[in-house]
Amino acid sequence: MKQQVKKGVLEIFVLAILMKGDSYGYKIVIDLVQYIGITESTLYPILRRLEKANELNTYNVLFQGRNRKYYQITQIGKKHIDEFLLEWEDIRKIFDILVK
Amino acid sequence: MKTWLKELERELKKRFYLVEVNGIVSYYEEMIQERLDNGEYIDDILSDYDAEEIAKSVTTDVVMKRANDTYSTLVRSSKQLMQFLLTTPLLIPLGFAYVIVIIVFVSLIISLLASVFGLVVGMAVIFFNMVQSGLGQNEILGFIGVGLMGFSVAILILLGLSQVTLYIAKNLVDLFGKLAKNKGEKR
Repeated sequence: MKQQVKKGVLEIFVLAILMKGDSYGYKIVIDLVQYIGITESTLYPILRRLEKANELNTYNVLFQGRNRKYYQITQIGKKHIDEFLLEWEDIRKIFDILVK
Repeated sequence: MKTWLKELERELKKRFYLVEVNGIVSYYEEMIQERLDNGEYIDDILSDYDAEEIAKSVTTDVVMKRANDTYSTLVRSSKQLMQFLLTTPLLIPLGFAYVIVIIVFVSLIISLLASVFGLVVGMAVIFFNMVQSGLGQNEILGFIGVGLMGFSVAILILLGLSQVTLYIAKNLVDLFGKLAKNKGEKR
């Protein structure tokens, strides 16, 4: 996937992962890396941006004597996905009209 | 692992507030621990991370995430953003643009402050001239009233100016932060 397109959809992919249930940083990377090139360093600013936009909530869970930070999608995050998918459909429709 | 985390902490402390540093360090600590638990070797894990590069890469996000609602945080954020832009080869032109915008902005504020200060000093001079020229008590009291009204207006202007200054400076940090991110992403 081209870098510019990838940057735009990574936030949506992270939100999509969280639609299935709450998750933590490393698990998100593992789940995403099967489909798209992403590292922990790439994920960090994405999580911060989504958190700042109130699209994610966070909470800590004690795991093997240490804290594991979990991320949970909010209604705003779900709305973001819906809006993105609608836009994507519009793009597809316009593309189909243009190539006819 | 502890040594590397200390190194990361040192790099981050050069740029960010302690609470921001702690957030980033705990994120990487968790990541390293998860990878260790997953059977990876510490040397392999640490070879994937560069403390200085991490500190640089999170600058725009950290600076933009700040509330930036006081002069001290705004000055610090602007300074860090400027430093980041001017030390990243691809973003140097943007850094110069930011420096120019800041210089123009600060010059405007200084001019406005000088105007308000000039107004107050001017009124004080007129007042002393009136006293020296032997004007009547009524005229002097009238002028003091007008002077106090002018002074109140000047204070209101200064208060408004400080709010507008904060608003513009905050938006400049956001704007240039976004521009830097977009430019960085196009790379």
